[in-house]
Amino acid sequence: MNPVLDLKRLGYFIKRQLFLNINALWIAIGAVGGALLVISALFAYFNPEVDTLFGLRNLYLVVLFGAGFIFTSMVFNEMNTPQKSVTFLTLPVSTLERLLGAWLVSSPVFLLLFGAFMLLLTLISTLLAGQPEALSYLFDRDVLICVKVYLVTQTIFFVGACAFKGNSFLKTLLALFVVAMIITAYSGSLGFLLFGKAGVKVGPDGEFKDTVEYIFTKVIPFLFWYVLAPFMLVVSYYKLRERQV
Amino acid sequence: MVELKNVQFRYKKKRVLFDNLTLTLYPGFIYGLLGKNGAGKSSLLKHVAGLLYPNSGECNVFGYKAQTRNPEMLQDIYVVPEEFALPNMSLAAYVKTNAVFYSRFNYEQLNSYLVEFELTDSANLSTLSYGQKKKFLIAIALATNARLLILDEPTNGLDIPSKSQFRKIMASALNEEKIIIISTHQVRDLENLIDNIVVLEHGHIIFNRNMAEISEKVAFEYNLAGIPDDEVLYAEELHGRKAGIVKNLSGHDSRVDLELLFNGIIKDAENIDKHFTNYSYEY
Repeated sequence: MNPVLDLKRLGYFIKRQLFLNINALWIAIGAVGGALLVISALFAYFNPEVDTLFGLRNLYLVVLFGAGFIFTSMVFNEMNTPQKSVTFLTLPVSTLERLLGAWLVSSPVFLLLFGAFMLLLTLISTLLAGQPEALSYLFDRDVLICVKVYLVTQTIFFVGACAFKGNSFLKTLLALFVVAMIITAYSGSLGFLLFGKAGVKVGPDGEFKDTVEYIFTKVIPFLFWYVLAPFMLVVSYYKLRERQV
Repeated sequence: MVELKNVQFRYKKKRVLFDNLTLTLYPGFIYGLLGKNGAGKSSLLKHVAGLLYPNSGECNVFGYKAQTRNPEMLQDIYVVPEEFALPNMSLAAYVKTNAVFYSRFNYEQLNSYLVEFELTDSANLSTLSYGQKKKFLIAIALATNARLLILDEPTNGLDIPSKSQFRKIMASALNEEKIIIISTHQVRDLENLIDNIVVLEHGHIIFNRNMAEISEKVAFEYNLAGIPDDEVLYAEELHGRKAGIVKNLSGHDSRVDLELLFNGIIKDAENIDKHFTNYSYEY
């Protein structure tokens, strides 16, 4: 691995990607934004309670995840379109710059833009509901956790966008479903072997319980928050580097 | 310099396409890469551009391993693919977003090529015909001043005046630093343009000669009547007469008929190549 990174070229690449996809972006922003605006206005006006405002905020968060995952799955559309892939892959940009450019656009930049849009929608909703003070407590710790979860889970769809040629979003969902099934089957089988008819019994000293507790409260959260996203980005790097037409 | 050394390549679950393919391309020449459909022309070009990786062997472009797709190397390569799709934007906007990646991009050159091809930079790419889009891509390719230009079937979709414009522009764009590879199965479009002819058949290079050498060593006759059989290297029926490739014994350079030469190489490459190899000993 000998990555090449030139910040000026990275800037040109991000600009190019945004410029080439600006029409599709405006259509998507118009369609999703318009729908959310109408829904927010109607709900806030006819049900001006705090619960409605929380419900709307939760809806925005669901849209954030859905739109973000779909957008991420489309971030390498040029590379995955046979008639465009040659131009994309022979553009004088390094693999690391391609990776960083696409990730910055689909993750932090997307979050910032969606966050600003969400703030605007929430402001309109609170004003229509006659509760402008609700704006401060609608953006609570839950929103921050959702943003963090998005930053991590988005990288799974990022790998999907690098790996799958066409229908990346659906293929990534299918892959996630298959992986979940495999993990469930493996865990179920392991549980049956350990606690089944002739399996291992949990000792009175609670050693097994402590181990399981440690895995679920320390190891898995650590893997999720600090390992999963970097790992997925490294996988994406190699997927991009090995990409042929 | 472009250098392919002992390249072996196969597409997944398919037969071997390149088996120890070795080829060296030098600056200052236009190479015509010819071959029938499915001969491996596009795959060879993709190897050179770093878009396909050999299973074994090496493909080096200006000292870089092609498959690393190093940006410094890619600045020196421009590929005009056979099939392409351009975004819905003006020519000027497309140039603005892509030209910045090429440090030697020359806007004046681009404008002169666009004028030559009768294109205006305010036009929208979506309103152009396939041929016009191709001419636009060729103009960009030349304006990047990349040292390696790879053109896959560049004359497909071009009308007759555009084909001659293309030949004129390509010939004028060549300099001692540039390597231009033109892949086509429409051999007549390359007449009076290419310096070297490389013929690919079933993934093997069956012929790789300079045009000057070809015109010196063989002649193209459209009526073989009266020519002794031992001088005829290849013959075919042409409008009720026998035309073919004969040994050039006149001592003068002949005019190369690329179509006839290509047909001869495809049908009997061994015989024709043997003539080239033994030429100096025979005469």
